[in-house]
Amino acid sequence: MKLLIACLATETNTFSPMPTGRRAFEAGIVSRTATRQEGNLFTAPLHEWRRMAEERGWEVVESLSAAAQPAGITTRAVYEEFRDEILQDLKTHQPDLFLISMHGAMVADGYDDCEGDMMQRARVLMGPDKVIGLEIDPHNHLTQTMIDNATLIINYKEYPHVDAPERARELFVMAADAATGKTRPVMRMHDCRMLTIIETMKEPAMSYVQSMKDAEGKDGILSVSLTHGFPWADVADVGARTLVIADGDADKAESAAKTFADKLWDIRDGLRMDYPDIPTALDMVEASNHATITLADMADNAGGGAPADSTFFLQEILKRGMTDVAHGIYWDPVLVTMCQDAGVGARMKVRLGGKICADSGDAVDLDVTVRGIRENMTQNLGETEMPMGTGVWLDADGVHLIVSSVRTQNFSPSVYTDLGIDITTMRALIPKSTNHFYQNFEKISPQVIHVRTPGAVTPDMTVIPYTKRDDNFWPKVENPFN
Amino acid sequence: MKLLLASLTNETNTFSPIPVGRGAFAAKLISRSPTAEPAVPCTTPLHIWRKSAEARGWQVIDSLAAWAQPAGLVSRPIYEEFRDIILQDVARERPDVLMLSMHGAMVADGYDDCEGDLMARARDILGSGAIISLEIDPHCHLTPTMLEAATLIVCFKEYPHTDIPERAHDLFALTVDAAEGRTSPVMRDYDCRMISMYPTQSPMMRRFVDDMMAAEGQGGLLSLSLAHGFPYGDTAVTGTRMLAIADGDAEKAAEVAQQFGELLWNSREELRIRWPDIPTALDRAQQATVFPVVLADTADNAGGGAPSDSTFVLQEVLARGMKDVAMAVYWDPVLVDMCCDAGVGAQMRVRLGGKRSAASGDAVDLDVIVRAIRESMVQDFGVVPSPFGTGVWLEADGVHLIVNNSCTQCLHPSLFSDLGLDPGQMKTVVVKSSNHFYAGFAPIASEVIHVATPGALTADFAAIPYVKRNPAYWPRVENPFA
Repeated sequence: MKLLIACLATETNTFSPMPTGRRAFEAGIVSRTATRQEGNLFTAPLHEWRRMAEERGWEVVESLSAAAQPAGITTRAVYEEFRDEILQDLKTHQPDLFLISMHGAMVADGYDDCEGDMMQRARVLMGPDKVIGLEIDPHNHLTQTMIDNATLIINYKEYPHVDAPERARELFVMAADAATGKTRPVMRMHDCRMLTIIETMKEPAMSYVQSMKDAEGKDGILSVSLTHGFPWADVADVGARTLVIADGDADKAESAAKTFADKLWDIRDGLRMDYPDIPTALDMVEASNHATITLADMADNAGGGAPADSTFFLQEILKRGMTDVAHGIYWDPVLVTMCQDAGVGARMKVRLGGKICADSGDAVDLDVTVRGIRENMTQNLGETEMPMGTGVWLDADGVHLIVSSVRTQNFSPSVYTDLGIDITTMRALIPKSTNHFYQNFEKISPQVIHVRTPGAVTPDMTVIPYTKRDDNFWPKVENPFN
Repeated sequence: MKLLLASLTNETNTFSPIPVGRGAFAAKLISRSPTAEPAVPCTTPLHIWRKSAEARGWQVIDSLAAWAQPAGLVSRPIYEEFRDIILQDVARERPDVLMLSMHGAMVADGYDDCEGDLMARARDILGSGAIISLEIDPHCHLTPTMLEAATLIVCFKEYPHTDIPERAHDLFALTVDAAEGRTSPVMRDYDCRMISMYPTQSPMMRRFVDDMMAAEGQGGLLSLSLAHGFPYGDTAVTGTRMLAIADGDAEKAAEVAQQFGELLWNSREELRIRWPDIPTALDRAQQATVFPVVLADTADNAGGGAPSDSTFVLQEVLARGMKDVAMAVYWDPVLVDMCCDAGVGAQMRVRLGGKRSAASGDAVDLDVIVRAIRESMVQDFGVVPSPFGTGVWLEADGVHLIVNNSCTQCLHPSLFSDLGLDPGQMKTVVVKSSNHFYAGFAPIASEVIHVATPGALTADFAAIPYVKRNPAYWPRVENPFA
């Protein structure tokens, strides 16, 4: 057997002002030897696939891995170049199997469905019988083009996405079974007409994930995936969808997909996003006897294409005169350089935040002391080390602010402790993240509060200004099936 | 004869929020072999001195050359490290002659007078017999320590500083005469008790510079320099001083220094800065019938430590709906990266300016088209090209904005034409520069207007919030000699 592996991934917030071009990918990864480097979220599956294939004595051809931090629309030239490099490898090597790690919500200038486009072109080159397996993030836009052209599609089940390597192993086994004729996978999806943020470490989503796992491997059901959808993209196919792969039985796949969609609909009230606003969340901290309460600045999540420099939380903290609060990660490479020049211990006047777009809010002028500087920092998301570049700890008279040279969400409280902050003395930690922060912060925090902040990835699904999809989804309308 | 050459150069705006550390020097120049590398303004004298000395059969040794773009305080460890490298070379080589190119207004944390400190330590090592010669910018703080430790000090006479090479030749000739025992230079200065800007293209200053040159070489007078002073450095000696060097005759030097100092004082009404504010200047630009009118945003001059991203003029231009306006240069490395990612032709929503400090004003959100991008640009300046980094031309509906990733003032119209924008086709050109722009822009301008903009380098000298400098200076008081 000959296996070709590749990765082309970014999550596109079509409302984000930051274009995604060559430099954005180069700042992430552009490599033809990704399995010889440390894995990231999107290349971790390639490590699994190579290892498992080599254990079976298969020939492995590694093509391009390119991944960029989520931001705005990918430029057409860069998408086409990367896509064509992978397609050329398929043409040259004629593999029996093609496994690719993508995001599922990549939009390029002229391509609303990059994954569908890639699948379709790969299928044309490989012919109808070869196996094409796709692993994607559940924040994807699941399209008919993807389903029609891929043999197998699997989503990560968890959000936070801690299970990418585990899903990669499952996809490999299914692909091997299909390639050796043991199974005949058939995929069907069902439109849930819902759009919400589904935190799988909490009920009712936790049980829902378990029920998907329970159904797999029984009764001819090979795999069950839930596409949560990526809300901050103006494309026709945005929304939650269930996806079922059955062995040779399309009807079974279709009815199971419908069953899981109905199940999601039934638990919708538990998924309704009833998040407090900033003043309410800070009131809760001020009223509490506990230290180290976590408040998530949901809307300024770099992982969703936000700038990671909005000041809405900071302004309210300063207005209240709150201290012993730690907040990060502000993306500002120029300020990081200034702090490195000044050195640890320097007292500086800095202008923080509000620098990228209107969703950044207004800049804030602060007198700060540089308390810590550390290069080549990383944070963990599940098993994967995520780079954050140089981190700086600024102390504005008891308000502790983290600034980084690499734009990234705040996955872990290790960022604060690695820079020297004693988080047990903080009343609140305020990570800029929608939900990936959860697993790591939950361990050190007596209470975790998701906060409905304004900004680039607002968790209020009813106000996102779509032009390409209809309004017929919950919670925009209470019953989209009418 | 053995000659040691060194340069340690930074103009320190003690009010600037941008610290100067290793990174700031590394971004411009740190070299142990400066005369083996292409000349930049501060190493131009070193090249000339080496060539002239070698022509005389002298032995020439390069020590360190380091310079950073003007900004805030230089960090103490960096200043001490660079100073000590030079002093170690001085101690090891024990040259007969030490020639230094410095700025004259470098302030480090703990050192208000870096030039005096370096000079005094060099004198301690070399003893009274050696020659120590210093070429500096007229925007310097001329201190008693410098005068006591150096044998010869020469300032550039022109502002814009177009005469760095000529003054280097002058200083070399003076140095040779002293080293070979033909002269015994003695320096005296006169405190004019004035703080102002003295562009030498004004008729009065032109006469003053011409008179200085005519007096040199007459009656035992070796050299005359006007230390204009650097208004944005808060030191005890900040201000304008007249320097005379006579051959062995201290009284003569003191007398001539006073005579020229009084000449300046008596011309102060001609020198009083009467620049229009932004609305008045734009009124004049809008009423013009011959183009382009060149307006100088004098307060946002990176060459004086300003952030080069203030928006005060831009906001008024947009409020008036003016078109065919070109402005340069906004320093924003992050935005430059975003534009490079988007590519030429991309339409973007950008947040421009207002990012470094309160002196930057508020950020402005604009819909723009990326018209051009060019890497490794340089600007013409005197005989030495000045590095500009990557330049981007953004058009916001008839308002043309130049952004770059290297903090530098706008020196020459070549930066517009190199990006494909013909400044001659514009009605109004706004340059962020106090006066260095003049040499390059006057030839293409229908009219040049220096504008009293708000920002980091206000032209209201009476209002600069000095702590260390006493207020007995004109124009803060009408008669500081009273």
